[in-house]
Amino acid sequence: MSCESSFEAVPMKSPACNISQHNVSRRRILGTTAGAASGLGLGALGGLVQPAIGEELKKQEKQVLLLWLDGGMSQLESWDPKPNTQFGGPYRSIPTSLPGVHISELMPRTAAMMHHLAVVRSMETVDNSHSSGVPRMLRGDPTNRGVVYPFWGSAVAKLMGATASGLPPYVWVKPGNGGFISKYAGFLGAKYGALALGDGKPPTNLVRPDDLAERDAKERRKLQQLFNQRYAVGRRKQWNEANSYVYDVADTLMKHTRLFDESLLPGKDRERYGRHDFGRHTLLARNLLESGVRFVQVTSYGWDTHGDNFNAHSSRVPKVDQTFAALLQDLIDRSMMDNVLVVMMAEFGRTPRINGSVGRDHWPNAWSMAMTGSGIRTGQVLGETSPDGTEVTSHPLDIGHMFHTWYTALGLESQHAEFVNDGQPLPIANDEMAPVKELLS
Amino acid sequence: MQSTIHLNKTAMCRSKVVLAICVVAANSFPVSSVGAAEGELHDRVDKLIDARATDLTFAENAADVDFLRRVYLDLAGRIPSADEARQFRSDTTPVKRTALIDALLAGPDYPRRMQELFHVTLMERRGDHEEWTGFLRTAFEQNLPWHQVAAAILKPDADHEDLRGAAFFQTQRLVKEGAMAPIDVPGLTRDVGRLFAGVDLQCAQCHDHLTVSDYSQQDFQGLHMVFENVDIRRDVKFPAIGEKLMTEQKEFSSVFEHVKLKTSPVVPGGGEFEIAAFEKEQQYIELPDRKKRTTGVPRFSPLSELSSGLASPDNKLFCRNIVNRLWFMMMGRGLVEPLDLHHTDNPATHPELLDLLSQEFARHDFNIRWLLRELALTKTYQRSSALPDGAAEPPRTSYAVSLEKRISAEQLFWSVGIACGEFEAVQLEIQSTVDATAGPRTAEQLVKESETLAALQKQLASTFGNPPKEPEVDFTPTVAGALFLMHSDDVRRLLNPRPGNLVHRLSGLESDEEVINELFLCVLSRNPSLAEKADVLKYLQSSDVRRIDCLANLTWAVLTSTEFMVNH
Amino acid sequence: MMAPRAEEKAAAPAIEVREVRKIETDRQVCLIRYSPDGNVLFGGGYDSQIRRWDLTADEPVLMEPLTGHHGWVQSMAFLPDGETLVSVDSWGQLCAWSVHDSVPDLKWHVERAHDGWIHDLAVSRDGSVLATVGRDRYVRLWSAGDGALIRQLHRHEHEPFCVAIHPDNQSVVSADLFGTLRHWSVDSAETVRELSLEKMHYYERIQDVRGVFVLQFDDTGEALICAGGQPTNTGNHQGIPTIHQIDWESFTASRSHSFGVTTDGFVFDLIRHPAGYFFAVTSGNPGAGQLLLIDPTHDEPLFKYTKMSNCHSVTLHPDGKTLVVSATNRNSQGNGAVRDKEGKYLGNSSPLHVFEILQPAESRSG
Repeated sequence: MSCESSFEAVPMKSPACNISQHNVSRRRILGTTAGAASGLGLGALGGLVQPAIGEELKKQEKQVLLLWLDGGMSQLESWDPKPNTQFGGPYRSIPTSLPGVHISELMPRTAAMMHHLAVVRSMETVDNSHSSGVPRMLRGDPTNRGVVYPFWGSAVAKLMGATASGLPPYVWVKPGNGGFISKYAGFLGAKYGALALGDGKPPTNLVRPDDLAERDAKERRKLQQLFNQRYAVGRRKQWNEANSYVYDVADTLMKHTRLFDESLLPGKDRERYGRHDFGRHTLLARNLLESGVRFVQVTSYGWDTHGDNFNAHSSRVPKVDQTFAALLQDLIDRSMMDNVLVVMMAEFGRTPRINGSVGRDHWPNAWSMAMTGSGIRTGQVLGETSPDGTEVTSHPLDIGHMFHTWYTALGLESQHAEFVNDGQPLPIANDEMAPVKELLS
Repeated sequence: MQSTIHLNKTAMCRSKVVLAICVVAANSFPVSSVGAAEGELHDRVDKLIDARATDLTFAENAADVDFLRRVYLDLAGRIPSADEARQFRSDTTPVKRTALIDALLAGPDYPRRMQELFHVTLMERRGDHEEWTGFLRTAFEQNLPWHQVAAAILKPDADHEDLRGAAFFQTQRLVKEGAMAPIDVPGLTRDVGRLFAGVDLQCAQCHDHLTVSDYSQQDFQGLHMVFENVDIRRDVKFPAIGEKLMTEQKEFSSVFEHVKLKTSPVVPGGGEFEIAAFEKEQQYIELPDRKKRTTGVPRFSPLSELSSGLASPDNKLFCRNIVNRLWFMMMGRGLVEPLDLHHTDNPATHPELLDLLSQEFARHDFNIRWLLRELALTKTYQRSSALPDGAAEPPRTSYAVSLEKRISAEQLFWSVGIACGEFEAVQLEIQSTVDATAGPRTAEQLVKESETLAALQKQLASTFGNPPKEPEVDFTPTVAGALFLMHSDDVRRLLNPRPGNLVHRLSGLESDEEVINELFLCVLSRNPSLAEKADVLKYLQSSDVRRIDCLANLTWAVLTSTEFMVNH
Repeated sequence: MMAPRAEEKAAAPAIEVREVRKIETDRQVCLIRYSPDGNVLFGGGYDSQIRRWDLTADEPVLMEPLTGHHGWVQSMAFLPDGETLVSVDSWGQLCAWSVHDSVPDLKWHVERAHDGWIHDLAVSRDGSVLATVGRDRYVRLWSAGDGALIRQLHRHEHEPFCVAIHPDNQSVVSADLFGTLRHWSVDSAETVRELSLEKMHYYERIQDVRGVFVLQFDDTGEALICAGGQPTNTGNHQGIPTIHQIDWESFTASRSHSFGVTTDGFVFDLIRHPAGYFFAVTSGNPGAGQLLLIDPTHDEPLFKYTKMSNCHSVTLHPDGKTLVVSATNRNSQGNGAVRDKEGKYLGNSSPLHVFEILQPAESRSG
């Protein structure tokens, strides 16, 4: 079944411990205030970053694009092929623009642009279930301090804020329903949740209806602000702030309704990216980045190929190949590579062994991911797996290393920067890990 | 022309929706408080709160209008109508607050409010069922003691027509959610612990809890085995469960130590109970029958044991959990937070108060109405939510200043309907289109008859409720909510002038002064301040949009203001 | 051995089967074919080899494999001469082997018969022509004698997975990802007719799932069998096993059988018994696998044998008395690394289940 349902619909599925439950009491043990429940609502507006960091970064306008292949793309049918071996599958490998480096024949367009990428073939992570793998990958596996850490998009939204565009800093383009999804913001609170564009469409009710005149809409908001200001006098600030904030975001979004209109995009671009969901959503992501959104995540669901893995990848990977190559070309052509960090990954790869359903199962043991753009040293493959693909043989890396690397690539001091939540300092990445120097330019 | 107007006026007179609460004599509940020496419970609560906040400046007693709105939202699940507000304002008797509390608790809105509150609390928006709604409504109409309500849920009785819907709590959690997802029995186990004992044992499923020494793996496994033994019944149409035969202890081992352990069923806060052994031919009261698709009725029912061990005055966790949740509902914060993490290392902010409340609640036969009445009578409850002049924000745990509370999607629906005059408008529509002789309906009846009202109710629930399985504890406004209020058809419909609704009524008023007073009274249940009056007058006089649009704009702004959107 | 298993009998079957032996393998063998003399069992799989078992002794004896293929070998067939085996692989190679001696001989090969995976191979009734379809979307015809390319049919719009040659050698049929069958004229290389089989395709979340697995003419050329399943989702391989009988003259489905539930999956392979029945094997969810006996005139299978996991291939001994099913070991699925006691990473294997085919009289007496 879909990995979307396996993760989204049952986020607290046992037997995985639910981290937030683990943690509230842990925080007492760590000697901080127990009062305000972590991650619940208004801890929200209290989660601060050391102020200096935010200011510094605002100037740089670095951005992030995360292409998330939910369910787990097979490394063997993409970045790390093992052709003609017991577990290698039916496909051939092809040479790439990087001498000596081969990838799966399912990715010919990307192969030609391999010198623009850094590929890690030695991811060795811990979770082999979606329900724990997805959140750990997207939180960067920070050291447990008894709080629920935000997903990466929320973290970047907090650490770097909106760009000068004023657009919401964290936009998530996904199939299915959209909305304002706050449940992954962790201790940062609802404010740092994602604006999710379901199937790339604008949020419901974004467009002012024709029979509501613009002047009336403005007057309404002005009057509302007036009443809110009066109410706020002499009361706790948070609730009024939270209530006003969502209207501010709504206002900003309304100024950019054209962004969501697919029909305004050049037909040529739509052809190049592909008219399938991943192509359409990634093209929208390119536009969002160009318009100044700080962090865009594009999710493609359905990579959990427990059955018929090979035809599934034959159907899927070429689509991603087409879209990814078109995106890379555009980022190069538009000189966006210096500013935009691009990462393509999933919660894990897929087992070497092929099951009876001709599928591959979940595999955190030795898998691959790709990255490029801002701060990344491209034109390399880092790490190695054994000839049959069953284990990492050099440069084992965990997601914590990658978060350090990416934060560093964005200009943050990943080993020193901290969130501050209810007075508790919280390092932005795993304490026991460090940036991977080889990956940094 | 003449006659049309005449007809409308007649209709208007009959359109008054039945909202009014009949204020009856104070202290309509026979249960009196405990011995005079110790004082009334509400006084003792205040003393305990005061004792822990001696260095803080307390907010003043809330103004009548603030108290009025708060107590209506809490006990009737809606704001007061303009008439009700006027009536309270004109009441000059010194005990009018007490009288109002009693009237609300005895009124027709209270069971509905409690049904909605407990539905959201217990089901966490997993879906609804008319049998379940019926059960909750009956329970609160009859003011069933909480331990009986809990017992009906824990060990549902399919033969009891009024209460059998309680099984929905379990059946809805035992539904398969997809081909790959196993039936979430651990989730049901967890929720029973969380919602009835205030302990979230989830993290003790595979090993003893890493950080909460009170929660052992046996606690989880012993409770889990009770629900592993439960099946949804297929032989009846309504939600119902059956139990399988339980004859053996459950084996489990920690993922860390791999030592095999055994347990009998465990009641949270009540310990292990024995598995009763019967001779083979004595094991069943009713044998399983494959043809009738029945699983039989074993003589030994672990659910019965669980129910009597958990829903009991002797079970501290059970007593503390419910008073903590009711306290949270009234005061905006739990004495223990998170609400489902009671344990030694996470004590209550006011342990002696939690003990007092749970003991007294048990002593008063788990009478929810009685406890809510006592809480509503406290000074703590009746304090203002505005900070005292010049005072810094006191800690939330001090209750020195009353805490703002989230308005649930349900409270919002009834309140919006009242504020905008939507119920009156719909009543008139029914009279003019369906049945001119139709008598006044309650708001609830109107929702059943009007598709647009039902649609609005559903929209508000999906926009302002949390996603399924997320407890609703904090105020979390969303962009989706803002956009809904700004642009949705539903909200625009509320503001289009239609006979009976607020904007229509405002448009018929002669002076701006009247407009402002009516608007504030209908929506915010109070009079405008001088400054607000000036603001609005300025707007009405300077704006060059059509007056009817001005009125809609004003109504929108008051309706979407923070003041309206929170319970303060 | 095991008693006859005849679950869910729809009608008294004229034949029954009983499992008599299981040949263990150390690898996955997803394709098995008896040699025309019935003495050797050939197996193709995921490791680029063609394995052989000598069946003349009491116990099967593993012989030297045929090497030279790459990737996966998922289709092979014997020419009517009884000694030439043709086979294709997932790297696009087409091979012809002389296998009548114990030391096999590669007679000819075409290294790039297709660009990439060759999904299916068909041999004409007279043994003169081979047809292949591949991931490159071409349908190609080859001379069986020397491997010369005879004709390239127009490119398929969607990936073709199966191919069959009509006994008259004038027509070729291919079946694609979308469940569309194309009748090609060999002479003109053009499509003559098209037939779209409903539900033999599924699309969700940027993934197409095929439903067509088997395409075969009957001996007369009057009917065409197209088997596989109606896919219902991506992710897990789920579908309802389905067999369509297609009338050649009208090129329409004259009869369609769907049986079982979505977890049963797909008919992976199908053979005809001389008595007029089909034996079909299915693979679905991990662990789900069946051997079905199908009477083409009945809606339900005559029996289902469900004791095997994920069956991928079936082959019938020329004497009609034995058949072999390649299935999968139990617990072939699982997340993370599955290791043996020494810590060695474990792959899966394909137990080969050997069945005796019994006439009812025999089974009663047995």
